[in-house]
Amino acid sequence: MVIEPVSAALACKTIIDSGKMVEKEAEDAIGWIGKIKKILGPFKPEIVNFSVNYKTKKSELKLSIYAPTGIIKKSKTIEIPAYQGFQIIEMLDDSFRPIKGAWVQKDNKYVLKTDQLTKGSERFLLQMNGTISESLLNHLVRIQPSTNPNKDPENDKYWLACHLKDTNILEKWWNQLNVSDIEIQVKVAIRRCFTNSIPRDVMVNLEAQREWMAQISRRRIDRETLFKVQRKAHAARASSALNLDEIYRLLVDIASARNLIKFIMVDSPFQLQDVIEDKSPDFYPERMNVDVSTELDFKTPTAKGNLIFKRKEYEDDIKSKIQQEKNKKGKHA
Amino acid sequence: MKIIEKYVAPWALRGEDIPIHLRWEPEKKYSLIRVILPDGFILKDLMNVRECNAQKQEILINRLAKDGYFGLAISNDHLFDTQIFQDTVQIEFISDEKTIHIERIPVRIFRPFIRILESTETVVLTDDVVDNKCVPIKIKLKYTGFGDAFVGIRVKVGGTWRHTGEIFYHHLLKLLMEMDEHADSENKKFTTELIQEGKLARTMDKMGHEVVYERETIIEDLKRYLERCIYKKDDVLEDFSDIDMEEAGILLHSLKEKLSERDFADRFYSNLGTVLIEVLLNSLKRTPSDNVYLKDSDNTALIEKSVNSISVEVSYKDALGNDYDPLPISIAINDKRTKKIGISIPIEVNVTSEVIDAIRGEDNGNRTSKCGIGL
Repeated sequence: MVIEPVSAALACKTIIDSGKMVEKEAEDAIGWIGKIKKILGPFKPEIVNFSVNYKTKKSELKLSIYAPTGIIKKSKTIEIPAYQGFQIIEMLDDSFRPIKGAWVQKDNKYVLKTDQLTKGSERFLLQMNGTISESLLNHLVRIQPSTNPNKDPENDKYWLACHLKDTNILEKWWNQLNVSDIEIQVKVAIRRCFTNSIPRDVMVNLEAQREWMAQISRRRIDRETLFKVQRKAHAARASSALNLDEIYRLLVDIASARNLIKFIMVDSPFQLQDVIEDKSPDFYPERMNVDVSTELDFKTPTAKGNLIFKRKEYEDDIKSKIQQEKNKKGKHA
Repeated sequence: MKIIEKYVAPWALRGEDIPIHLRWEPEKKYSLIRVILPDGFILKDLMNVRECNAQKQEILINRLAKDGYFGLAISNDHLFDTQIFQDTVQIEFISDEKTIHIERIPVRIFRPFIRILESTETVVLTDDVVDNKCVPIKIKLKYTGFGDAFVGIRVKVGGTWRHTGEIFYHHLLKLLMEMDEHADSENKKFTTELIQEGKLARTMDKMGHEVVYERETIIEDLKRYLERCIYKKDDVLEDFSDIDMEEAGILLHSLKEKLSERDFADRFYSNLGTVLIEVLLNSLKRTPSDNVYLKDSDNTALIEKSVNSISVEVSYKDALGNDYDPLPISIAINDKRTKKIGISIPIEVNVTSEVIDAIRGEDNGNRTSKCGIGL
């Protein structure tokens, strides 16, 4: 029986259907904004900014409202239900001064204390927060780093691509969407740099120490073999000038995130956020996790660029640090 | 139409998503966007699309969520036998059944390639073998292409395939079993310094544990870690056979029987220097050449019965876990020994790399390394 690969027709249907499923989730997660706009209808609410923080999964809405004294007097009470995941953060007057105690939370509602409003101010800015689910975010934004880097003689380059995936989910309500702190984690391979850079005499020394330590740690010791490996180990140590603990300290330091970050660059519009050491039982990990971030909005729905690991410089740094340590040791000897 | 940005991921592996997008000045002069995918490519995702349908490799986009931007992601699972495979995605903007704008977007898929340059044809076993060590089997490999290659070696002796490497933690356990708790002063001095400086805690932390300072707790943690590696088939062990797992299990069991917590702790601490050297050398030897990762640092063919030949197989995967065709080697065994007992034949792997620059399409020089001392 021949199994057909997933056809483009089926893929199209699946992708579009999953978008429709998320629309319902979007309504649940951010539907409060439409409701609040309706409640505040008499005050001509206008959305100034709507942003989503990808990392914290928080949304922030800034709403401009027009509330001159006349309209305020006509509205006896102004109340907004405390929808799930929604919070009023603050209200500013037309000089952008925060109005303390403008809104109070009472019986699962936010109530506007009109007597607190700044006299003479007609325009106000209301700032509100909400939460966005992970599945909704995943449908809103698509992120991808390359699995393997391209290598030139100097650098390892990883491509980064970031897209607003379904702008319609949020565009229904706003044209000011901004998704910030979109994080991409890139796994940067570093292990080979050590194999390329550790000098031969250090390797010979390590092999000789390994053999020697293994021999003298055994219960039954063959004196002749022990003497041979001991001489070899001493000779190797003398020529390499570094002990195991010195090599250990050096390599742990070189492989640390705070050292590696100096050799990472990212193209705009991406920004380097952090380098995190991999949990690996080795002296130095095979890969380092590098976090980069960017932001997208309706005007710029795509971000493309590269993460560059300056491999040659990193290898030169390993070589020079080992040499420095050797020189230092030589002076003390 | 004024295209303001055209993007395609410049390189990809087999099965890796290739994102593509176009951005243009919104003008809505078109009524339909037709995408023609090359044969073998599958659609993985669409960006900014509200309505579409497709037939075979042709996708018709009837409505975008917002004019001025369109993206898609595609991939190809086919195992290509060339280092680079290139084809073109065509995106057409159509108005009144006429194509008003065409974009042709090249997509490129790369692969790692490993060939056997040379290998030992015959191994001669004689009575001169000292310490059960004989002349090694030498395998010279050549890597060309793009992307990481994870290389494993296995050997078939008398009908059974076995991995030639040893589970690294199994090796460490064996080493600890052999060692005396009253080890040498060099090792002890190093251990004491590490503990004083909190470096040991850092090493343990790297092993995936919380930082702990209690002597017995660290040892218990290490044992638990080893148990997890051996019994729960961690990633590092995914390809080991049941026989390997069973052997590691027996060893762990005997370690528990023979050594008390305290003894194990003493032994581990007294020999920490050796353990760390083992860890360091293991990780150095496993990356013998650019883009090549060996599954095991030391490989050995174990011959327990008299045979005339053995089969060696070099297999490799890319970074996404795609398998490529394994490379078979047949080696004749000329056993001239008077007493035919089990013997381990070391396998020495030598790798040369020629890495392709996916942007310039050139190779990046030639770096050679031997897996072993003097890398």
